[in-house]
Amino acid sequence: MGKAATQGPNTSVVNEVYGTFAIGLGMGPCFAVGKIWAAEQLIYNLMTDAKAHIDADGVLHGFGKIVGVDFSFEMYPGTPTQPICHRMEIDLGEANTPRFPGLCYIVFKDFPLMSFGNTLQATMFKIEVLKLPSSHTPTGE
Amino acid sequence: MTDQTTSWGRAGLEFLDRVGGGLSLGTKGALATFNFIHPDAEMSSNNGPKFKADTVQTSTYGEAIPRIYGRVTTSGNIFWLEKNKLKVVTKNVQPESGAGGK
Repeated sequence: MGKAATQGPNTSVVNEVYGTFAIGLGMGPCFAVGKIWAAEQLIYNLMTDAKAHIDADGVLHGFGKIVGVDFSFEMYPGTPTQPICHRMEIDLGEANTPRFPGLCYIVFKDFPLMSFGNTLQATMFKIEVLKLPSSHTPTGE
Repeated sequence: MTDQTTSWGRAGLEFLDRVGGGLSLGTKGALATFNFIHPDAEMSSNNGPKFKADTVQTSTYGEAIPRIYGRVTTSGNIFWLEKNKLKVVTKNVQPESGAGGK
């Protein structure tokens, strides 16, 4: 885990742990993810993050940073026709990957867990889901 | 069986001792916390407690899917983890040269 002593000729070994996973949020259709907390730390805020965008299929692509490490996520809105998550398709196979129609879910891709004890249990996501666009969101109305 | 019962009892006491205000947690939270403290966990508790929150991240098959109205904050339910494991990247880091070096 953490860094070894910085003195001495030998290199020190650092393990970095990443998770790629999907979290089901609820019945769709929903509009966007407003804020995300991980272990009581606000790691994403749609109101202030201009890099988030919603593509033609309604999938929200968000980007954030934890202690200098970038992460990205996709939020599938839970429409009947939402696309398949390609990352999940690669893992499970085309025949085993549904598009989860009606389920609003979020997929974190290579989420850095180093700040959270390297476990998903300790990361404890809290995700604010917005059912409808609001005037404060970048792509709303 | 008796051994197990006593060790679970010990774990329960330890749990109450550690959490103190454990009763203020919700039932779900208290049960989940209890699950995390295994009787054998004493041997590997050098890193200290890692579990501290009043909501629980679940990964449950057959969990009910909530309906969402307005603006809802939820922990959700993890239903997919790539290859069912976390990805570990091992990096060799050169020591900082400012500390004297070779």
